[in-house]
Parts: sequence; structure tokens; C-alpha cells
Amino acid sequence: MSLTRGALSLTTLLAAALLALAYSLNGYLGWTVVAVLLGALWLLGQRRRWRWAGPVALASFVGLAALGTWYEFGAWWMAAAVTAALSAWDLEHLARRQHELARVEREKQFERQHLGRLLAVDGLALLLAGIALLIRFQFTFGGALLLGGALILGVARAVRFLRRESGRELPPSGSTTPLVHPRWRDSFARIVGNPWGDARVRYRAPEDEPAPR
Amino acid sequence: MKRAVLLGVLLYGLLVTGLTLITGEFLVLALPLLVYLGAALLYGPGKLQLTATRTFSADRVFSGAEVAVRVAIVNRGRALEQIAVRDVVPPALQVIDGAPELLTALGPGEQTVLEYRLQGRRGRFDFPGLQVAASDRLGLFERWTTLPAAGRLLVLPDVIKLRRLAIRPLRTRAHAGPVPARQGGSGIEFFGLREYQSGDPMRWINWRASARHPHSLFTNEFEQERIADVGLILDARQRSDVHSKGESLFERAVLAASSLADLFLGDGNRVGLLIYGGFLDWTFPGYGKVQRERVLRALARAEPGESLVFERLNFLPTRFFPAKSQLVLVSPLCADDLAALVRLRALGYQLLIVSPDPISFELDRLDPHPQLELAARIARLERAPLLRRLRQAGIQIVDWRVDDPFDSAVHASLGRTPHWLRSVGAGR
Repeated sequence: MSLTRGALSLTTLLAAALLALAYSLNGYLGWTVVAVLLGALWLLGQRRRWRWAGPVALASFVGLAALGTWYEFGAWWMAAAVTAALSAWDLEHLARRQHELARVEREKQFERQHLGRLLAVDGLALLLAGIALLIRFQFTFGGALLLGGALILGVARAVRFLRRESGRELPPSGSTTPLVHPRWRDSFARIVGNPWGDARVRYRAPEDEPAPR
Repeated sequence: MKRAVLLGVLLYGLLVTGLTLITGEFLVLALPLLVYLGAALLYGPGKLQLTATRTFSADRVFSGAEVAVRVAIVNRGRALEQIAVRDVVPPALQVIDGAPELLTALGPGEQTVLEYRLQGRRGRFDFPGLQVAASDRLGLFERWTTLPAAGRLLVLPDVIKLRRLAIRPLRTRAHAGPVPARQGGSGIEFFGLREYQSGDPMRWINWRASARHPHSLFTNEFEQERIADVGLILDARQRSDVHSKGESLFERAVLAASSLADLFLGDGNRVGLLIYGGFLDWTFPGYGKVQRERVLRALARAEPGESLVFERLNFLPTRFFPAKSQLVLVSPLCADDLAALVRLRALGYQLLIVSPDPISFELDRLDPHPQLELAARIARLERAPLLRRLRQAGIQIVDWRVDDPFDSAVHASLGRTPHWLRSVGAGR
């Protein structure tokens, strides 16, 4: 098993376990079963390479975490579950990439660098979540709305900008050979008098000429 | 980009919920998504500045030969943390070793190399370039581009070495060669008698004839042997082609044309090639190895095509071929081709038709069925009169069952010219 596959299984299990544990400790057995089933389904999807499984599972895990937050299970606990689910979703993408492309150059190093970046992101996210839970200040509904609007607008603009920037670039045009080489067109019309009307006559392109030996 | 959209939707959902319920914990829940998105934005790829160079171990090979492809990609811009490269290999070519795709990271000025081996059947294959997808390590925002790395690989058709084939056009060229020229002079085959002229070698004197005429001496004349003009015509009309179980009769016709071109050029003749199908692909007549290369290249790119104008052989441009020269048509033949071919013969061309048999080709590849044999018999009954009439018009025909060796088929048909064909001047 590659490093990526191992980490993927681990993070998926961790996300499902964190949610299931939170719900079971608080006595919501039904939701516990849902979390376990979702985790199992995601693991199966990873094994079967179902493309839809990852996004559905991530959305479901975030939804379960949001519900847990609504039930006041502990925000940091839920943030950890979201972080684990997010990591699993990311690693699933990497694993699919590795599977689809026949060759990965310096694979171990590549995986280690990816996991390093992911660990840094996860660590920073959990640290910020911890700090955010420590700092408490009151703001009015209007202030919250303003802040939310600014946030949403900012993220939307960033996404739009990146979508525009990552469009496909087409190869330069004009690289094709003309159907009839102009040098030959007149000579042939003179010889054969174009008895075929509008039928196409194609001659060998100059680059097809073999070099004299 | 779908991943970024999903992440954005989840993030929005959490932010809106948190702000609507005025619950800070929801915003805490959104933090991992926000940090992930921020990291992807921060390390996202800039403008791609990549160059690629493609080299082949050989840019022209014969069918089935292996070719090594090497594509070097150099990053001339910022570091790319994750880059997926896929070379677009024409579908008719088969990768037999290595992979035309790669996932890697490229620092500024670094180079990576795609190496693989492929092989394929006859054709001209253009490699358009590389598909490149660059992203940050998290792969959230991808930048796609097509990197030009043009290349062209020519897979020439196979050539079967044939034994010498006797052709006998009405007109030959001036240089010495293997084709009987219908003119007396120095040669091997007896041609006729004439009165002795001063300078004739003594061993050419026909003593038996001279003995009958005491006051004259007679000399043997031999038939001169020269090279000839040979016009090869490959029938590339879609309607005369037959496909069965992934195989095409046209490929056999190309094989026959390449083998005949090789044979005639090897004998020193001047050979031109006309591919008659969706359009006219004309290779000007020439001699020798360079012409052989030209003809093989033209055959490599030959494809069956459809055209209302060239649907029948009526528009075969005879002005491409010197008068009274030898024409060799490679065609499965259609029922309505008779008149056009007889007209060619009437114009004075010596015509040889190599006809890959479409009935046996299809019959051997179809699944067994009780009525299949009956259908084949009916098809043969339709084909046989066409071939007979062509033969009656003085046209030589090689009816080639394509699963038999081509060389055997040619020599079984043309090994010795029948007397009735010699009587109409088509053979020796």
C-alpha cells in the first residue's frame, strides 16, 4: 500500500470515528450509525473508485459536523472531524491522479511533500480553530451581516478569478499544410485542364519529399 | 474546478449558517475549509511557461517496427508543485513500453522527460502536442494548457518481395531494361530475320535460312529489352472497400501496390502512382530508390475516401500516364467499372488488374451461417462475368484471394500468358 492510500484510509476512519464518537457519547445512536455507514460507504467508494463518493461524503461529513455543532458537542471536536474529512477528500483526489497517470516521477518524495503540505494546512486550521474558540467578542447582527457579506464577496471574487485564469490555452493556429500547394496548382491546371470540376486534387506536401540519397 | 466549487459551496453554507444563527462555532467549523482554500490560492500555479521538444528514434518505419519517442519538457517559469503531462498519441498507434503520461513536480529551469515506445500499422501520424495540467500540491486550482510539441511519424506499408513479373507494354523507354520492347536489335529472345548487314556478328547469321537462299545471307534479330513506364493506380474508393471484423480489404490493396511498386522500380522502370478515391493523390513518375520512398510515403497516407466525382473509374486521368504505357490497377473492382477499363485498353494502354477478392475476404471473416455459402455463390456469379469480359478485352487479371500469398497469386495468374491473350497482343 502506498503512503497516500494508507493516509487516505486513516483520515477517512478518523473523520468517521470522531463524528460517531461525538454522537454516541451524547446519546444520538441513530446519527452514530449514519456516521459509521457514511465512513464505510466512503471507504468502499475509495476502493471501487467511485467518483461521486468523495464529494458526497465530504458534504455529508461537514453536514454532520454542523449538526453536531448545533447540538453543542464541542466545536473543536467537530472542526477536527471536518479537517480529517477534508484531508481524506484531498488524498482521494491525489490517489486517483496517481492511479490515472501511469507514471509518477519520484513517487515517494512526491507523496511526502504532498502529505507535508496537507499536515501543515491541517495543523494551521486546527490551531486557528483553537484560537478562535478562545477569543470571544460580541458583535451586532448588522455587523455580522456586513462581515459575512464581505467574506462571501471576497471568496466569490477569488474563485471567479481563478476559474478565468485556468482556462485552456489552445495551440497556435496556422500550423497545418495547405491542401493544394500553390506552386503546383497552376501547373496542374495547365496540364490536365481540371476535368473534374470542383473535385479536390491533393498533391504531396513539400515536407513529405524524401531527401535525395 | 469542480472541487473548488464544492469547497466554496460548503464554506458559504457554514458562513451563512453561522452568521444567520449568530453562532461563532459554525465559523470555527469553516476555518479548515478556509485555510485549505487559502493555501491552494497562495501556492496556485502562475502562467505556465513550458517548452517541449519531441524526438523519434526514427521518423519513418515499416509497419510493426518499434519507435522510441522522447519528449523533454522544460519549465521556464515559476516552480510547479504538481504537473500532470499527457502526450496525445494517435489512437492507431499502440504504446508497447513506457507511458506517455507523467505526474511530477518541476522547479524553475528543471526538465522532465517522457519516454515510451510504440508501434503501429501503416499510416501518417501527427502528434499534436501535450496536454498539461498544473496545480498546487492540493490540486484545487488547475491550469490547463496544450503544449505544442509537434511531430510526425510515418509508418510505411509492408513490402513483399516478388519474383520478376512479365509486363509487355506497347511502348517502352530508351534505356536498357527487362521489358521486351517489340523491336529488333540486341537481346536474348529471338525476334525475326533480316538480311545480313556489314558489321553483324558472324554468330548471329542464321545459316539454315541462308542455305535456302544461295545469294543472300540472313541474320537473326533479337528483341530489344528496355525499361518501361508503369502507372500504378490504387483504387481508394470507399465503395470498393470491404470491412470485416476490424480488417479492411484496402490494406491488402495497399500491400499489393507497395509490393508491385517495389518490383517495378527494382527492375529500373519509371513508376508513377495515382491514388484514386476521395481525391486524386498523384505521385509523379520517377526512377530508383527516391521514387520508391515517394511511392511508399504516398501509400502510407492513403485512405479510402468518398467522392461523387470519383465514384466511378470514368474520370481516371489518362493524361497522367504516357501513351501506350503499362498500367497496373489495384482494385477489388465494382460491377460498373467494366466500361471504363475497356476504354483504357482501347486507348492503347496495357492493363494489368490486381484484384483482391472481396468475396473470399468477407466470407472468411463472417460467422458461419447456413445461407452464407449460397450468398457467396451468388456474389461470385456476379463477379465472374465481369472478370471474364475484362479478360476478353485483353486485360490481364490477378484474382487474388487475400489469404493466399500475394507472390503465389501473381505468378499463378501471370506465370505463362495464355495463347488467346497473346493473340490479342497482351502477352508474349
